[in-house]
Amino acid sequence: MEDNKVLRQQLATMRQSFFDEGILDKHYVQVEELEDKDNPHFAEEVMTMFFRDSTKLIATVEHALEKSPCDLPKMDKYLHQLKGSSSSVGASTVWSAINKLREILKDGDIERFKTQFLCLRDEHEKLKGNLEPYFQLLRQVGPVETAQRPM
Amino acid sequence: MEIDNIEEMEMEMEEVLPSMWPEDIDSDKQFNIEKPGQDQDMLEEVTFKEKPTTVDFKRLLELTNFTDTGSSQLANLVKHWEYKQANVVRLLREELDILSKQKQEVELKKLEILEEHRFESESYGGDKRPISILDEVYQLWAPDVPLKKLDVVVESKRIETELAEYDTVVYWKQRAMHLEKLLEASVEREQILVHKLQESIKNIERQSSPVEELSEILKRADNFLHFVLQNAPVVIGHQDKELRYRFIYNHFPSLGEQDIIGRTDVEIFTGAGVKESQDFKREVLEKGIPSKREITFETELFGLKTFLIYVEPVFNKAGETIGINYMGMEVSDQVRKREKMAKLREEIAVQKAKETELNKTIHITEETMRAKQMLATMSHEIRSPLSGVVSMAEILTTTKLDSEQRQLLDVMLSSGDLVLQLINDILDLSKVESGVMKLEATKFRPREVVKHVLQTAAASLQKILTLEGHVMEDVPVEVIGDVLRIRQILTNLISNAIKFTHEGKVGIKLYMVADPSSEKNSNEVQSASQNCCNGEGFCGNEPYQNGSIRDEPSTPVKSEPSINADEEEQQHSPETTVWLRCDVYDTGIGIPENALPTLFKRYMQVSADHARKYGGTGLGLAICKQLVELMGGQLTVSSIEHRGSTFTFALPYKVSTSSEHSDDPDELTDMADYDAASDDEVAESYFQFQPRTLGSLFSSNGTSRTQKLLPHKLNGLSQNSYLFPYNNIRQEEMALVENCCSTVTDVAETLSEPDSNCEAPAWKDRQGQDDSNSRSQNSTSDSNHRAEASRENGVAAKTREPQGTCERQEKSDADSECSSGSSSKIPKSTSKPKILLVEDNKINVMVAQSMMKQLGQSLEVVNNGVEAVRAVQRCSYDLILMDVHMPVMDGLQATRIIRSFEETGNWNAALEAGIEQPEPSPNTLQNGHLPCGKRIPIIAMTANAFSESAEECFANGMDSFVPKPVTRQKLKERLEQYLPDCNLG
Repeated sequence: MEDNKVLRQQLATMRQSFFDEGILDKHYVQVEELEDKDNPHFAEEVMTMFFRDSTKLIATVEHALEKSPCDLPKMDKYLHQLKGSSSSVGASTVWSAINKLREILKDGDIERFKTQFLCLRDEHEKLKGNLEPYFQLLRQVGPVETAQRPM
Repeated sequence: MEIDNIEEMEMEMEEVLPSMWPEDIDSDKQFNIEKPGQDQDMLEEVTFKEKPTTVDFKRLLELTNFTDTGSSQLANLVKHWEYKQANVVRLLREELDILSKQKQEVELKKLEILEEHRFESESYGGDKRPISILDEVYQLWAPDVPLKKLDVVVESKRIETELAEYDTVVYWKQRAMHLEKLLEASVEREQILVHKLQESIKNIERQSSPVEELSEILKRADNFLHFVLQNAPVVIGHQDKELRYRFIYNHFPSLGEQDIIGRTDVEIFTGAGVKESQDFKREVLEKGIPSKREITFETELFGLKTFLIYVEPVFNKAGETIGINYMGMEVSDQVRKREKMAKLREEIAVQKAKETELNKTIHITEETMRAKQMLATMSHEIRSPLSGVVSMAEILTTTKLDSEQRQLLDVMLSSGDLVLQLINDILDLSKVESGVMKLEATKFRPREVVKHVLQTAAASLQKILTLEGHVMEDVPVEVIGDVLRIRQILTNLISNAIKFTHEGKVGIKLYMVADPSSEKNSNEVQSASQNCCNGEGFCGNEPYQNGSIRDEPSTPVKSEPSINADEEEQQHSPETTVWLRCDVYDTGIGIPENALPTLFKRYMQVSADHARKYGGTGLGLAICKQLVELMGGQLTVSSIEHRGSTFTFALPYKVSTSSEHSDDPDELTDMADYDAASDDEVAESYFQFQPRTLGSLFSSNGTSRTQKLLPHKLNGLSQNSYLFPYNNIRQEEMALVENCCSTVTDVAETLSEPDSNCEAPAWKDRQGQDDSNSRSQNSTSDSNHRAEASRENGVAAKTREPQGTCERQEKSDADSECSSGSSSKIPKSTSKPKILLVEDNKINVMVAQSMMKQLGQSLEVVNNGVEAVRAVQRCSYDLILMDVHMPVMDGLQATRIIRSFEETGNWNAALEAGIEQPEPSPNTLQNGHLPCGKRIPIIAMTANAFSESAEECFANGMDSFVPKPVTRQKLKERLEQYLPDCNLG
């Protein structure tokens, strides 16, 4: 139990650090709030789904970038999708990186786009690298015994 | 001896003269010179160029003679020399005295010795007394001349004469011999001394030339000065009373002596600064006060240089100025540096000032932007709940109410509408001002726009007014512009005109003008078009047109064919710009002249009385003006009080020759109806909406409706004549409310049912100007159908005629079905509402689903607009949450299709978009395949939360929007708003 407490403390610190660093924003809290006893791992599931989706989309965009000439509208479409999901899960750094990317895309500056795209990938990796161990730990600790939101 | 003397002299001189330099020149000892021996050595190592000094010796002499300093200097030198000489003389005298004294002593001694030898007894004799005389002598001399101790030996001369007379001969002989020797030595010494004395005197004589001495001193001083000044960028000079140079020292001389001495600055140099320096010197000369000044010269001789000049006056003994001394130092570099520094400092200061200014501006701009944004956001935030209130109130009107409740509800609705209008106006204004408003370029038919605006106005008309529209035949059938905004302007102006007109008519006139950049031209065209218009509409206008603000001159009529020719020319190019001028005229109360300047200002109304009497926000005209200007035109007004007003604006439109269908969304539904009209597209159009009499209005009731819809063809002038009856819902209601007579309770019931159809709640909440199209669409759909019926003997065949007639015939059934439909909705609310989520993003779907679950609702999910349309075709929903950006078909289009279905009852729009009609499901059959079927609330989910895209959503028929990412709270709010009966978790 004591061990659990320490782990929980650690989890809370980790979680707080995500917000402090701006990796996540209040929309993630929204997602967390959607967890209930029927759906105890909702946030993780959403995030897993998000990562599956985003990894694929980023790879697609990367692939599209290698082609010449680049299909800009198509890339924008992918990015739009990614933007929608990242804003929903509250992945704010990824979200803002995408926003910048889309701005650049509007100008059609491929070189700048490529550089910014690397930023997006980094931010995405960072988010992933931060959240995966967090969820692992979360599973390890088990569900929190808190009051359920009244329906 | 010589050396000693000199040393002594020096010692004494030091006491009297502290330095070699005359006292008054260097009272502060700036020119202290070291002892000659040493500095001579030092100076030897330095080479001098003695050339630079140019001296007018005569002047120097004058100076020394006539000025205080000069004479005192001279006096000093002389005094010095005299003193030195006196000293030497004194020393020599002393020497002589000493020598003579010694001689006397010697004589005395000699006498003594002689006497001694002559008279002395035996007791004196013997070796016990050697020669003691000398010691005494020494002692005598010692204090005064100690150095001479060794040299002076005095002995007696003649002792030998009487030696033999005492004692033994031998003794005396010896003694005599000895004394003689001494004497000889003494004499010898004396001779040496005399010799030396003579030598010394000779020396002194040789040394003591005063000129030599003085020149020696002067030369040394001179050398020092040269040494000190040899590299200094200094010019030293003396100028006489006429400022002629008498002396100049310049280390870098560029002129010879003959060029300078005896001439003035002005005579020597030419160029900038010379005069100034001359004047400055003269000033000093006159004032008699030393002074410094910096003067920049630019002369051919030495270019651009700055000198710091010190000038002091020179006085003669009488205290009059007789010239000036001046010293100049070149400080060009320093000045340049200083100026550079000053400039830099100035630049820095300016920079700083600029920065602060900029910061201030930025701050102010940010504040302003924030304030505007805030206003816009707030307005938006207010609008959403308010539209909820109004919608609910409208739903309430469909329920059974007694007359008092209905009256209250009407007040509530009209107040709500007013606030909504105000908020829309504020939003519009802030959008225009912040530059957020974007104009769209869509193809539209100006005739249709004019007609629709008038139709809409007629629909809500509460007065006996004739509404008319004239569209000249030269106006192109289709033009490109922002139809929404143009419609907004027209609607605004027309409603204004109606508001301020109690009898007579209100109308729109649309005609081509030339580019108004050539004002004269446009006037010609204007008057030309005025003349070609039919008289009826213009008789009232013409007088006050002359009294317009612009004071348009009445110009000769230009023949119409030429305009047409112009137009034809323009029509040949694929895309040309035409200017259409629009007059909105009325025969109303007019505008007093003093109110004209503030007419277009915000929140300005002609007077407080007007504001009370007519209401309104005072924003309408300001918005119109801003919109017109945004589109590149100008809004002007001309008015005569009590006669009427005309608002005029001309706007540029693009004309495309391609004959595609209009983009104007509200024509989608009407297109079929007006195909006929487009047959004679280029023809002049005239629309008139004749008023009914109040009597007929009151006498009319539901059953007599078809009668009053009968056509009256009142003008025979126009080729196309559309007559629209008054079918004003509100008017009738208002009349009822006003009269509130007990007899009409039944009638009110029957009237209110068909009039406030089920569409009302849906469109009411987006009743703003920007969606006036949809409003007109809705409100006129009804009237269209009726009008079509009334047009049977009118213009052309209508494709939808049978349907329309059918509808009219079925009207009462449909209405009753509607009301029953809405009442059947109430019991339905106990069950779970059917909510459709249209969203392509899986994650968003997941989140939204979970949120809905928490709110106790379930969702059906489709992934794009096409699927959404299909879903709506399949079954009915209580609410649709629609993503705006989606693949295949976006939310806006899907909404338009759904709305089109709701209005027309057919899926033609869907078919056009390529969505096939589904098999009619039992569900839809049950609901009744009717155009006035309930309107599904569609809530947009948009990532661009700012009002711009919200406007887009509203314009496309959406009811509200939720900014993305969606939050539980926002979702809940919307559900509460649109599904008030459902039980939210």
